[in-house]
Amino acid sequence: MKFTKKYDSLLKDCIYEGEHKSGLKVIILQKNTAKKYATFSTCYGSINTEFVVPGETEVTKVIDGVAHFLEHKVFEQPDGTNAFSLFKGADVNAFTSFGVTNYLFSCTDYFYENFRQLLSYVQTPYFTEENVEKEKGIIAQEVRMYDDDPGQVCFYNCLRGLYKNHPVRTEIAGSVEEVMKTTPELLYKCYNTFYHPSNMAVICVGDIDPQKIGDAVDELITKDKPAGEIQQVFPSEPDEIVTPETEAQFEIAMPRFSLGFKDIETGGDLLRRDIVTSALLKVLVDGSSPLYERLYDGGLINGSFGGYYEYEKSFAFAEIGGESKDPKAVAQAVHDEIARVKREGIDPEAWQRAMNVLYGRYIRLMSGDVEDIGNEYMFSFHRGVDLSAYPDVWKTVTVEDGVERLNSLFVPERSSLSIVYPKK
Amino acid sequence: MKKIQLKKGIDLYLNKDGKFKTYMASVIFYRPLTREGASYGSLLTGMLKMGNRLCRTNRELNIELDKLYGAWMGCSSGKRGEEQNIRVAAETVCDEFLPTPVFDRTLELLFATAFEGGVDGKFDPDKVNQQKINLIDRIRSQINDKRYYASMRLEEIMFQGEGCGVNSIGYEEDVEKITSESLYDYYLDVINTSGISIIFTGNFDETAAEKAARRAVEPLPEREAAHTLAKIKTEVDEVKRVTDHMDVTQGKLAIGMRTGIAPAADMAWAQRVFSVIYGGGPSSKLFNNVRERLSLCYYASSWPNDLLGVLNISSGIEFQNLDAAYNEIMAQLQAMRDGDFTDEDIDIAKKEICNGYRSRLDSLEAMEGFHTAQILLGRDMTVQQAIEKIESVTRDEIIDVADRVKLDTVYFLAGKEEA
Repeated sequence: MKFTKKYDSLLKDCIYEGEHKSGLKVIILQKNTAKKYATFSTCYGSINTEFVVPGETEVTKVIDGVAHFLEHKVFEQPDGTNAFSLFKGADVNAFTSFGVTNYLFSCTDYFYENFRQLLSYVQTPYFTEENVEKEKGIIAQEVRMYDDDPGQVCFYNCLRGLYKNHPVRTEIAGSVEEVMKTTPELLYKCYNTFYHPSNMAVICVGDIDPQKIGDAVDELITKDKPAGEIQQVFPSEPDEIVTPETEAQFEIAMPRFSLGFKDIETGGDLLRRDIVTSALLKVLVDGSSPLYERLYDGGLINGSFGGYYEYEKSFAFAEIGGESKDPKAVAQAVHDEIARVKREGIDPEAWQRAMNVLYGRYIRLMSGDVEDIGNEYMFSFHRGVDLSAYPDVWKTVTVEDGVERLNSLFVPERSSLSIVYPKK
Repeated sequence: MKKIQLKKGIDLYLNKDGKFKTYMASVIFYRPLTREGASYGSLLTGMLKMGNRLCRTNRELNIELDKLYGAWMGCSSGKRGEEQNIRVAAETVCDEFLPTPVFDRTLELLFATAFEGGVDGKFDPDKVNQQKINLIDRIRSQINDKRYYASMRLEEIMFQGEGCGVNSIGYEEDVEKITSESLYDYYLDVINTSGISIIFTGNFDETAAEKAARRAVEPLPEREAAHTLAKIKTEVDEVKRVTDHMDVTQGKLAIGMRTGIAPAADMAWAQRVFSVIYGGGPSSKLFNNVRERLSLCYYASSWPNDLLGVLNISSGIEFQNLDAAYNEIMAQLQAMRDGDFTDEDIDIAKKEICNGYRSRLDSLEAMEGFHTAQILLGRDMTVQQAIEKIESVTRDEIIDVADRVKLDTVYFLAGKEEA
């Protein structure tokens, strides 16, 4: 396969991009590092529970947690061994998010050998009644571990407060009950639909020879033409939230909270919206904001307070959260501050500082750990975003964009507060 | 690594690598860890970001850092064996990748935070009170993460009466007694009597770094400074078994064992290889038996604490599987003693460790951590030399480590209904 080469004059690095005849996208970010990182990922995560298989007309609806269950089982090889054992001197892992499943490894030596193993094992599904049954116990323990994590519970309660139907409201691993219903047939059905190379990407970061990657892909990717498009179906989601407040109790020392804002603008120019929203969150709630200082000095927040923006093509939300002895007072203060900034306008100096921070953060990310770079790039890719365009898009963002976003996203009626209180 | 003594007891270390686009600069105050010092140290790191000679408030400092394209600054107090390390660190992008330079200003802010904390020669009592509340909340919040909590309880039980048993975050009742005056006195004591290492890692101008560091320590006195190494206990008098009950859905098993191997001893390298084969990752005995073969858990792993000659094991399990998991963990230890592992297992483990070492060359934080560990052990070893040590470990040495392992403490965090 052939690559086109791009030179990134800001970072002084090269990017190679190519497409295999199977439709598999291959991207190599060359970096001067000892560690090399490779990811083989599919645009398939926990939210993809309804879809039309290419060639079929009916919508297939599956139980929650299948993407995550698959992530575990893809490691199982037909000879009964675990794919972990195929690698030499590497950190091998996989994870499932809302929108993607990613198989990965990093190493300093034996990279190309290991890369071949990665391509092979992900393309070798082997699911039996017996090995699926065995995995249920392991995954049930993983789910229980998350059930004991107050941060996770607080976060998902917030999402369930915001979303009525969209599957983002469900834990990535699903519930123990649903996990127990998983069958080999179901795993094969989802595997065959979503693990076609044309729904996948290979992204590598480090001191890597593109030719060797291309040769391995040519040799080891078994499909020779793209599959038809997978139609992803999402239940219709109202603009309205489900409930403005959710409470839970946990064996913890201090209450924690997530204040979510449902973004009703989805799709479109996601990178631009990410930059604008991130800058805006910084102006509103970051350590250099007047709100942060007021709440901190008033003893209402600690260093855990902060905000971020999360999105896929089909949903987006902003979350502001942390620990507080009085989460309701903090949520009220956030709403008051948003109202004040809407009234008085965004401080232009604060906006410029926030934009500078994003610029520095991008350079630090892209010159930092190869795994962080690869993961960000991979997430962006499956959202249809080219992360290397960040500096160019960044240049065009103005404070007026911030004002527009402030009015469209930070609407009190579309917010939901989730609180986890200590058990009495 | 280049070492320059700036003053008696104050050393500058320059670890330049031009491949980075960023650099990290750290000031580390080191002193013996005491119970009282743990609370003072933790509270101090909270106060250092609340104001200094250049920025009178936390917000002013944050604004200045934002202006430097989001330079990162962190203050922390932690322990290494029986030594307390109070660290103030900054990381930022090299000037050549930014529209305006930030190098000098970043160092000014770093050194002001480390050496010139407080406003008008004192800590504001209201702010100290606020930090006390925050610290006490943090101390109490240790129960939030149950896996961490189990490992903390294990440490408490296992090292009772030993210096390394002090929890470096501090103690609620000790924090309550601290006043703004006593904290400021402690701070003066830290900057005037502790050993100080200033460490630069990454891509920076060595001359400029040395100049800035020299200027920063100019007002500081010389001091007697020595690193503290923990005493290594080799014997276990009686195995301690403790179970706590809490409202959790998954039980957490934490086991502490002693190998009695000193951190600078040659056997310490074999101890690392041993731990990886035993419970270091997906290729290990614990992962493949406790998790994969018996489906008892999501995680089961072991890792050594080299500074203490200790091996830790941790697993999250169903309450009723405690005995099954414990028995399997011990059975796999016996298998290690019996030499029931292949040359390929050794090879895989060594490759995993060496890969970890080489990977550190890409991370400022990991490089700094590697070098500060060498400084603590009083040697100047390169990553390459560490790799050679690992590669030379033999099968007999690994079995020798297994034979030295003695069970010390078994801690289990169980659910309420089990009470």
